[in-house]
Amino acid sequence: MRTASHYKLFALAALVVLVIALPALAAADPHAGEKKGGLDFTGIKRYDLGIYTLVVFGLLMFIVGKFAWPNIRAGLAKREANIGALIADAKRDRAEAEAKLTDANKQLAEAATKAKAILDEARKDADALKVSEREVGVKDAQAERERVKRDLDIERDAVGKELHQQVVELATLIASKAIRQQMSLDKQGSLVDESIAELKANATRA
Amino acid sequence: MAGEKKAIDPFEHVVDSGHTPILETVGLEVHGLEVAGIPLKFMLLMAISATVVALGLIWLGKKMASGEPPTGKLWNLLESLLFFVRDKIVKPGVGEHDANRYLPYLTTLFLFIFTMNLIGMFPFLGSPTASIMVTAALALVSFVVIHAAGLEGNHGVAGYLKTFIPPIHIEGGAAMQVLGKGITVGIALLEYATAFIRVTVLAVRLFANMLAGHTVLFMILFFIALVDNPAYQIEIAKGKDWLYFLVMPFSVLLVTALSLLELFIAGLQAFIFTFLTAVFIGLAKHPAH
Repeated sequence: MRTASHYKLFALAALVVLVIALPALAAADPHAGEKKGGLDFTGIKRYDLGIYTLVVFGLLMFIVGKFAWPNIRAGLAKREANIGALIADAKRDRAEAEAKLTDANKQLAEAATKAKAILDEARKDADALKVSEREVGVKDAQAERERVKRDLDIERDAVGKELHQQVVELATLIASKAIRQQMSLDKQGSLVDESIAELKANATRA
Repeated sequence: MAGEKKAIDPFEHVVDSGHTPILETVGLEVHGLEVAGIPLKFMLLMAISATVVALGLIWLGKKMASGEPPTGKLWNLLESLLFFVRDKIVKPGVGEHDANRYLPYLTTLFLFIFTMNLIGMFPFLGSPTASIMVTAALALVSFVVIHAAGLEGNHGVAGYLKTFIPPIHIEGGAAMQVLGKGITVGIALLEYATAFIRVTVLAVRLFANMLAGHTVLFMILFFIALVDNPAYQIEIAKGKDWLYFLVMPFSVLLVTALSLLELFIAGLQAFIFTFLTAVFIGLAKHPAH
């Protein structure tokens, strides 16, 4: 690194020296003192400038050939290798991604199939449950209806019996009272009312 | 001498000189930029151009050595120039196979000419490529490179010299054969002459464009002196001070516009010189059969 810096410094120094030295070398130009005119504006007689150009360009080629182009070539080669590696990586990643995508699609398809099967199963179970629940409900309702009917029948029978008993008692009471005294129609009416009142009182007590 | 009319030299400010006028009227000028009567201006400008190109390429090489992609304006700019030369000049001219071999020479040549052309756009300086000896020297280098490539690509001197002889097939009697030989020799001589004419034209084209461009810029700006400066004032402008206000904006605007064109020409001429060199290298290395 240090040597390269020295070379660069040397190269720059050489350029400067050249700038100073060449005109002195060219001072020996036999046309230097001649009168100007004609095609002089083209610099056609400036051989010194031509030689100077050759030397400067040669030196420039040497300097850049020594200090610039090896690095530029190495950099370009490295970059080319990097780009090649990146392209290879990208191709490999793409192949991996494509394989993963295929797997994912396959898994997705399997999952969709499984989900459909689960849904079908669930629907079937739900249908079966609905049917069985309906049957149980119908049975329960039927049983409840029969129980209520049975209770109603029992209740009706009990009420009927009680009513029959009360009617008998009432009739007996009326009959006993009618036997004991001759009664007018008004009296009979009052007897009936009295009997009913008694009957109510008895019912309340009971 | 006061009042004395000076002769107009349109090339005075364009050609190499030891005297660089900046603002002569206020005494701002550089004298004595010469050694033993040899002007140094173009030599200095050429050395500056070479140093700029060398430093630029060394810096670019240092940056590129890492193999990392470019970052920053300067790195991108220099790489763009490098790849422009490689992809638009060297590969189309020389061919893919030999491109890397001639890339350093052609890139350095392009950048050197381009920098010398551009440096002439700075006021009061000049373009070294406006001298025929500078362009001739560069064309001479190209001549050597072109024919070295030809010698290498065609198995030596004899093989290369044969590539200049056109393959002409003439049927017929002895007279036709003699005529055919005569035509072949004539065309071969023209082809040999072309080898020299091509590089001469390279030199003259670059020199003439740069000299003419800068001379035109100077003359258009000099219109102002022709109407206003007593040392150069033309007869019809005498006593008509208002002409200055008419000519001055016209000259300045026109020079500004032409300077932009000259910037383009600076790049174009560097491109043409390098591209033709690349094409001639390609033709010498792989001649048409």
